[in-house]
Amino acid sequence: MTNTIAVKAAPRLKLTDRIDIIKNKRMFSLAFPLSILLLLILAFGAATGGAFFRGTVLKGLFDQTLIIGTMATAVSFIYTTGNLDISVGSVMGLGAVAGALVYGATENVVLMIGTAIIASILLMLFNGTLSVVFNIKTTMVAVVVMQLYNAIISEVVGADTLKVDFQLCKMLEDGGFRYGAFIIYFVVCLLAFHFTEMGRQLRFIGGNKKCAEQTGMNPKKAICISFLMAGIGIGIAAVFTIIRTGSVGSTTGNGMGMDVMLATVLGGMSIFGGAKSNTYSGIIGALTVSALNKGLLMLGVSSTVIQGVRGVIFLLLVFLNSERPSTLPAREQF
Amino acid sequence: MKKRIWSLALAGIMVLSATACSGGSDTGTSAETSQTAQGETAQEGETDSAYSESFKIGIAEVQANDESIQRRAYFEDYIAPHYNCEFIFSEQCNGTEDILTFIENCADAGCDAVISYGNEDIEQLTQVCQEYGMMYVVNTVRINPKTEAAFSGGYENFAAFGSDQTAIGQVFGDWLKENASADGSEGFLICSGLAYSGNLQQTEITQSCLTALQELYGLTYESDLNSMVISSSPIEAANDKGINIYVYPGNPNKVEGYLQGLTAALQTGKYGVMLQSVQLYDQTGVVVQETEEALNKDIKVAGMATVSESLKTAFATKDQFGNPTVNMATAKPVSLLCASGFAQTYNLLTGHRDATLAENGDAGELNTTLWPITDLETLDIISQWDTPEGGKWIVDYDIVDSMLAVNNPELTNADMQAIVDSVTYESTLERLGE
Repeated sequence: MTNTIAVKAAPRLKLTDRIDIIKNKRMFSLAFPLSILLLLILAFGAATGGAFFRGTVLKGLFDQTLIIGTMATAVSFIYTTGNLDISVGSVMGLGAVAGALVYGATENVVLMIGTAIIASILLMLFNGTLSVVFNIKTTMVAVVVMQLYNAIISEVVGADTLKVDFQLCKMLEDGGFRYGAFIIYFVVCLLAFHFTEMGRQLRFIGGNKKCAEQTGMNPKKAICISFLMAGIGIGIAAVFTIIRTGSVGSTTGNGMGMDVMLATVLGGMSIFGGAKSNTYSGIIGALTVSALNKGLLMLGVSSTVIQGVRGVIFLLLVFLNSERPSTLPAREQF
Repeated sequence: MKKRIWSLALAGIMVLSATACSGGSDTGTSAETSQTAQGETAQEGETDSAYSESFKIGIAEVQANDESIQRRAYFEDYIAPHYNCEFIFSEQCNGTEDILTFIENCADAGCDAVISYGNEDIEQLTQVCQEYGMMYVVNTVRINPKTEAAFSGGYENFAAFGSDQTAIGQVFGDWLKENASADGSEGFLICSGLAYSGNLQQTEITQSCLTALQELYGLTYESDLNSMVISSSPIEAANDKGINIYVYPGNPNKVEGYLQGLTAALQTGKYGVMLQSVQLYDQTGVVVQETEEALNKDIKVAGMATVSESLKTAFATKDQFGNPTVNMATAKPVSLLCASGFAQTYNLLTGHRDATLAENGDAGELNTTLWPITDLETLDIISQWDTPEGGKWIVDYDIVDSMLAVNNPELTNADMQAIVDSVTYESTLERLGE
């Protein structure tokens, strides 16, 4: 009798509360975008009579995703700390220019790869250092240096494009260099982000900077580490870019900062960082974008309609992924 | 919560309906839409018998403007139903990576060819298309080392079509002969736009303008002409005749910064003629008028343009000297360019590669000239042609048919060029009327 009364008195959960409980589960940020991606692939597979499941199509999907996916994986270290950097596209472009220039001078592919990665790391560290030394928000630093890097690219490349032997690029691609490099980098990031003290510190700082400072963590050091990790990934993406097209032009990397941000958000991660950040959202988001573009095109959907459909789906995903707390944001945004 | 569920449901319905509608309309384009240019309705049986083989062709777009809308209408509504083709259009491609992605997606969608309006990395992209068994036809001309490798590389899946550089130079040269002074004392400002970052059209026009001035005044430039064209900073084209010639580069997409620099140059008072390789006549018109008022000096303007309402306004608006804001605009006969690209593609697809080859056996090109417009009356007439609504296409089925080797196996690239050359403003006026 007593038990019955207790059950009746328990408050009944509203649907919103139930959804919030599901959304707050640790695996939701991985499971939801991944489910959407799989659903999309299944839907396109069915709609195209199985053509979408062909090995070449799926390989193409992955190929198209690698550059943005690698960059998104890289910048997740920066986003996690609650910082933004939209200059990553320009950094990637300049890294690729440096790599292509070295290849042009030496015809040595190892030097090309090394130069692209080192140049990208140095540029990202420069961004991070500017922010730390002058205590300026990384977003503002990015806006300024982006102009600078683009101007350098325009000046160096000019009207021509820097060429790298296309057959060599094809050989590297066919030899699985890109896949190997991506998988190694991705696994390293995954381990560093989710299973090391450094990763936990970055997430903590992103969640509550002041609290992190009071527990002895150093946010400035964290920014430098996050920019270093991002620099490695952006350097690898620069190499991927060179290999993919065999050329680097003055527009290489333009607008990629926003594409990376979009992929991250679509993959289910907040660009404001914090405890729920992860390294895999970017690649899931990038795959979603590529799957949508490819699938709709294979269905014969007009490019103008593709833009509309993509916009609606993005809105839906962001709507479902994002948190809208009833209280004011706790983090200091600006 | 109810609102949230409703919004989700409505968004879902919107996605599904948009996909369903577009899918239906697109896949049905070639088979079902059968409106002809002159407002007639084509007979399905007739279409099938004339061009029974069906092809799927991707169009890689690099811009989104009036011209791309005209182009889309011509391919989709006019060419597709008659020639049993289906066209897939890309979104605006911002570089090689985007075009490459589009090519890969086209291959997966079962395309037979890609017509590209981007002219970067042509050789690499031709090789990619070759791997996928697709033809690659590019809107470019054989003018510099960037394009040379693709033309001379012996690629069996490559052909080109573009604007005739010499003819464009001739258009500007002729206009200058009539409008510039005998000694060139008024000074010339040439807007080179994005030539510094490889924009081929703007490179061509800037080259043409500098060459036209060179020929007109018999002058010799102190610096290399090509390096001045692709200079990323403004440069005085110093010459032995002491004529003021200023090459002004800049990104016209960043209008404010572009106009700021242009205003500064014009207000020096050293330039009385402005030659534009960029299509920005409406905004630059304001700058020119302000300068004319400030300096009490007439500045003549000639440049590239797309036939549109804003161009009409520019011609109709008079400055304080009673001259139109734009004195000469070169209009692109969009359907002629499209038809050239389509004919090259169709000939490659139907196994008539010989018809696309140049005399020396290299990949061939078809060159289209631009039409000069110097008065509102001509503009009014031209604006009735090549409109997205259809009705009066500059190049109709008869002309396209004559450019296809399936109808004439003896056809050569020179024959095709002769057909393209025969489509002039005068011949079109005679055929379509005002």
